[in-house]
Amino acid sequence: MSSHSNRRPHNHTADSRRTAPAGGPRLLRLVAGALLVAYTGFIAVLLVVSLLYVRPADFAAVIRSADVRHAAWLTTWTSLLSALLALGFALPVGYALSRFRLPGRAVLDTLVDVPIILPHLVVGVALLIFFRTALGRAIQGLGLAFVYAPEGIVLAQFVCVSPYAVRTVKAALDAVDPRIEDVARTLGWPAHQVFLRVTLPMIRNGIVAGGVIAWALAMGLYGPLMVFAGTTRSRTEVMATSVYLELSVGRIGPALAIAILLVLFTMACLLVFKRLAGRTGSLW
Amino acid sequence: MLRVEHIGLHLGSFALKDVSFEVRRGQRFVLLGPTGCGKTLLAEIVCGLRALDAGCVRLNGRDITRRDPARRNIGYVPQDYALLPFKTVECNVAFGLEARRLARAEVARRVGEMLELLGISRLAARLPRHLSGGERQRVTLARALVIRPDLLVLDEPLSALDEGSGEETIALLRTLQAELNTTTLHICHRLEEAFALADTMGLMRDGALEQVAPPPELLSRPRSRFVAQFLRLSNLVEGEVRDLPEGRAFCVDGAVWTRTDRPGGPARAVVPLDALSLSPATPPDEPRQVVVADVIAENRPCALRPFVRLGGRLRLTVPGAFPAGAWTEGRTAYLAVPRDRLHVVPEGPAEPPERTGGPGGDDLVG
Repeated sequence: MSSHSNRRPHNHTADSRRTAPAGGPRLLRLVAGALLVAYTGFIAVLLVVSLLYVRPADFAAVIRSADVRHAAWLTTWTSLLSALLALGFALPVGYALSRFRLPGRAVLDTLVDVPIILPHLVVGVALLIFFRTALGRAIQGLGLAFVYAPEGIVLAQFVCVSPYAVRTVKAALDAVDPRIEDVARTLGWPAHQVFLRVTLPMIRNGIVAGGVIAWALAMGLYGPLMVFAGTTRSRTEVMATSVYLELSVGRIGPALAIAILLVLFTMACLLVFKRLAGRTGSLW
Repeated sequence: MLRVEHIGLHLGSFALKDVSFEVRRGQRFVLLGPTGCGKTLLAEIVCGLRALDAGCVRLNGRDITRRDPARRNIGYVPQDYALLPFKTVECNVAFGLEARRLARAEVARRVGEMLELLGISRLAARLPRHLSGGERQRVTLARALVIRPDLLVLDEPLSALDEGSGEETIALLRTLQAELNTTTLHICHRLEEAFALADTMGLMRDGALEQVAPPPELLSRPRSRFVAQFLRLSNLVEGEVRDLPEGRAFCVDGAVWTRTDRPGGPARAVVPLDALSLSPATPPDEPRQVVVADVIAENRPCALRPFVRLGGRLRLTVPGAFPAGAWTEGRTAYLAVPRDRLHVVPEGPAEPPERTGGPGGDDLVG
């Protein structure tokens, strides 16, 4: 503290601004602002550098390639389906976790988070092992092969991304004032109607956010897919897998081209969903 | 008419114990008590939002204890209003009517009427987040009343409002009561609110009802020290109940003030304010000599309220308007207290609660 403020009585007028310590709000704004610019700038730089590295010839070849087009189509429908399935489960599961007083709730809660904590590769391995068991074989006997098949992509994506959807939906449900639902019931609406007419509209943003997060994550998965669904060109090769495969044989140019395509596509869809999400500036 | 019988509920370390009371048709029953005494729990039980361990709830003669909250026809106004944030005022008010499958025209008509009655027609198209506290209060009332409930449950309706809005709301609630004659269970913890609105009051403490009576009854004949203290009765004389040869009597400083059948030991007597008279000269009727201790001027001009000290153990506020200069500190005066109007309150906890008085009550009378 400067000796000035010790000698004079503390006076809450214009004086205090001159003698205020240097570590005030202005410094905080500068530091936070600078970090924001550095952070977003770094991401922007990564994108720009990648864009500039790609040769137009590589990009053209990639767009023309039938295999890449198939991989793009596969990526799109599998990630969309797994996101929808994740949401489908996230609603009842999130509701149960949020509203019911379950015995062993902490255990259930932790189990939901396991796919997030496990390395995704391990998820793929675990699925592979499961389908070697008697139960797994029985399920395969019902018609869907899963292992080294496109439906396996959906399954692996689903397992990896559904925890995020569940968490987002549960957080949205936790934020709903239970009193509002209570009053709706006293006004004459049965419980399931209250869920449809009161709860759902209030968690709409959370549902959209959960779906988008799940879908965006699914678009970028390749580890568990390679282990579980294989990398058969034009059958189980998604775009992310293509990027990895091209890199592994040293073809950085084409790898980057596919990656850029994937990034552009993902960002475009994210922007569309942001519009759909409504007034809130961010998804979560 | 609402009848609550022997309600019991255990919640962790808290318990509602054998709570019973009755709200007659068209009456306003105020459930009063300090925070944490179980009033909101009771409201939730009556509305069906919480299960009970024991007892039953009857509305208009029918047992609704096990009935779904959606089928009780109770208008619930919670403390934090709980309006649907994504619906306009109009849609919020209509929400309960829609559940009853009424024709759209009928719904619109009733909503319009209710908005008019509550003076919020101009807010019909607004969203709750653009309303002030008082306005939200009215919307919530409208929503609860438009369904024509058999019972209206108000949980601390004034607690979130500033003083001005609070007074407006009290006036509004009185008007609504007169117009609609709705049976009301009103929960609060503030005395002013309770006394302004109650037909009958129930005082709660720690999950049990201490006393149920109309306000004048509570003020003049509190059953226990808690009731007297909670109602901030300042006209209490400390003394003790002694067993004398001629019977039990309440005594102050050794002098017998009145006969009583209360248990022996330390006690207080409620001195009814309207029966007090303070005079400078010896009045005819068993006076106590007092010294005027503090003279406080009220907001009204020329009104003085002498505090009188009696043997160091009594402070009484003598109501009334006295001309300025009539009483000065240290002056001797005489306080006349009619014996038969004294009500003795024991120091210990109340005996099992009784319903004292109330219009046409057929219950025990203390």
